[in-house]
Amino acid sequence: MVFGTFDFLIFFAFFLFFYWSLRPWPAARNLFLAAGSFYYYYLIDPRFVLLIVASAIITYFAGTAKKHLAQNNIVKIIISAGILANLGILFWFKYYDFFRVSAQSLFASLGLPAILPYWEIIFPVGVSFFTFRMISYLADVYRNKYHPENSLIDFCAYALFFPCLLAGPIIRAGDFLPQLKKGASSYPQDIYQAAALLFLGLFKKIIISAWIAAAIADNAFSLPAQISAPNAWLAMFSYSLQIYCDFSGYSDIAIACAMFLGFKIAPNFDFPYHSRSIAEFWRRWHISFYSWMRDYVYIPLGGNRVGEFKNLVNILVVFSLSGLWHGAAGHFLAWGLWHGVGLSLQRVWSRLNFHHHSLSHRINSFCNWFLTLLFVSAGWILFRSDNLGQAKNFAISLFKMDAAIIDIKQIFIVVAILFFVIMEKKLLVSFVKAQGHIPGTIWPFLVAAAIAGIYYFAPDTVPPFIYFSF
Amino acid sequence: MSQIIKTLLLFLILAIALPLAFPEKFLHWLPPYGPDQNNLPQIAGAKLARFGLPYSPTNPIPPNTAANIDATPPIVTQETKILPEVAKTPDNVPLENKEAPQKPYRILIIGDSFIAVPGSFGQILEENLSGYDQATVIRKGKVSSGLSRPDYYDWIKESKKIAQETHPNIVIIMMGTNDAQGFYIEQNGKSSLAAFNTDLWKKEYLNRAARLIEVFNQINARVYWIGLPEMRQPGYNSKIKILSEIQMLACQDRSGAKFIPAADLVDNGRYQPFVADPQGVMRATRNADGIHLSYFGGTLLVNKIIALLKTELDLIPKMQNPQ
Repeated sequence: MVFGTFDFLIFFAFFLFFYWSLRPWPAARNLFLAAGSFYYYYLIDPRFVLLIVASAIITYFAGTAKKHLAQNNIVKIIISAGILANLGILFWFKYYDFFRVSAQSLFASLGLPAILPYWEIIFPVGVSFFTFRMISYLADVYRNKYHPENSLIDFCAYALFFPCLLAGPIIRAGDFLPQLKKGASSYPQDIYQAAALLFLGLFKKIIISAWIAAAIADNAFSLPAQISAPNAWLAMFSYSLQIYCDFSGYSDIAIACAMFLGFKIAPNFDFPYHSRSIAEFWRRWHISFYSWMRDYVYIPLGGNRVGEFKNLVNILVVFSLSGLWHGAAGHFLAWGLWHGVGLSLQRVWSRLNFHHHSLSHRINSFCNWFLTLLFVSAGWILFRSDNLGQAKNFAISLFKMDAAIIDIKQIFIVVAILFFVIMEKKLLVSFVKAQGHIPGTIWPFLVAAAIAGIYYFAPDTVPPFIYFSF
Repeated sequence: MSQIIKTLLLFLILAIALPLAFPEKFLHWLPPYGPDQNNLPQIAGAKLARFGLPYSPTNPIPPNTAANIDATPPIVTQETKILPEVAKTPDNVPLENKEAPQKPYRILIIGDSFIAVPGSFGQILEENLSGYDQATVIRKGKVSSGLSRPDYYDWIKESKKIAQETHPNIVIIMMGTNDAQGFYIEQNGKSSLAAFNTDLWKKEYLNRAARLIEVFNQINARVYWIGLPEMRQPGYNSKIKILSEIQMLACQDRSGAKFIPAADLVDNGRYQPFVADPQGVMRATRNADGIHLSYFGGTLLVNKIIALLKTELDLIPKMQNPQ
């Protein structure tokens, strides 16, 4: 029941039919959207559907305190309690065991008895994205950036909105609810753009990401100490492309589905591998998450408006937290710190005002692009490995001095994928333009045929979306 | 044509045409926690896919939802032609005594998601065995596969190809999480449903396991069949125990095969989601599904299996070998 599976397409076809049939009755349509999203999550994991509904209801009522109560202190307490409830859910399901094992390992090393209880805790899929959505709503309400929502049904339609429920993008109430209210969703949004995103998203996930995983990355990362240096380099760059195609593919499909339902969702990726600096990369990668971290962590910490040292500390804090958000493990923390340190060094470097006057603009630009790609790709080793030991073995393999056999065909395919990723923006524009020339009666059949072409070349088994585990 | 009509038409075509055109790819993605038995879109898709193939697969069973599978009988049409071969090998004929494999070891690891998935038990086993001198390890896994559904992935047929390509002298097998389901078999020219855990089903499953072992024994490879660990859900666990017993039976009296009970090694006979590490800290042995092993649980089992293998094989860590 995830994007691209046939049961999702059947679900979505039925959903669209009833959803648009209710167009004359916006309240009923919004109720249907909330109920449909509930059913969608129920099919994904019935064990936790009530948990996210309860969280949504708590968040809704915590938000309404702002409207009904005059005393700011009480409002602050209630909204803080709402935020803590959501953070509590996240901590309990995602971090408790990591915290327990870390604390008890520390106790054990000090010769103290283990006292923390242990339970078998099951992680509900999408809960990291969901809780961030709820927290952003409460923070925006408290800071008067968004008025508390009146309708519980509309709020649930926003909170549970199924295209973005499992792995983002993390939509903000201020972007989504006005669309729901103002009737902006009376028609699907730009269906040519939506169809192009759907096609590209499926292509990136089903063809590219699945191929890289099966042919290169999974093998290399399963035996990091055994692979040769050329294969390690190939796997490192391949995984960079895989995770981009996997996650941006997911986001593209989510945004396309939202557009078919009449909602406009801001892009979650802005062609990040075009970046020429680490800072630019983070403005283009997983935008909804990093803008969340900027607005609700970095700026409250002081952002850029503090001294240089404090600013660098803030950067490290934000990236450490974003690393840990991906998983309660040392290698995710190390990945966050890798980027935090890289960004801090880049900032210090840029303040030194050193310019390559001797290099032409093009060469300079290419060097910046390549170094950024190299830095980001090296960081993905930490991200992809199961633990720090594996990442270390992989890093050692990169510099092995051994004669190695490497599959030239694989190199050509990876270069072709890199070329595709670089040209993706132009391809997207071309796809949208080309659809404008297709007669309306043929359009659905042609688009369906193009999508069927992806399934024709698809492997029988497609691995799950990488970001489902976060 | 309005945008709404175009959108509806597009998804109507996709929802109908894709399951019909590519039924073999129907739902073969791994969902995070898998389908529910009340998944109406999935049931609708399965019915659509039925028209696409003479022998339509039911929903492939994601490995982490294996607990849900046995309630849904496979969809088979009467005109089915692609049926599994049945009972062509005699039941459990003891093989001649075979000597222990000689170095260099070519170790093949095969199985379902326990073997195939990155970070799985199979990967940890591969990683560890590769650290031994004169040991080449090849891992071939297929998610959602098993011996019950050769229409999805025929392990016996595929193993013949894999054996020819890889020439193993040691084979480690671990599968069965997707096998607690009925299947159709052909007897006397008629197809009949063998429901799970009936005598007919057990006989056929035993034959399939025996034939799989025989594929490798015929090329003088020694087979180590690793049984499945205990499962969280009691109902599913009892089914898995039945499967493990049959797998053990298939290995019995065969000098070329040995059964290793993972349930005894990692769980001490009962489901243990937490086990103490060397420091005494309790660590999770299972993933969220209560089926698959976590990295810690996988490492725990791998260490015990390698210790067992060392009693029969001359496994020397690469660094310790003076050569």
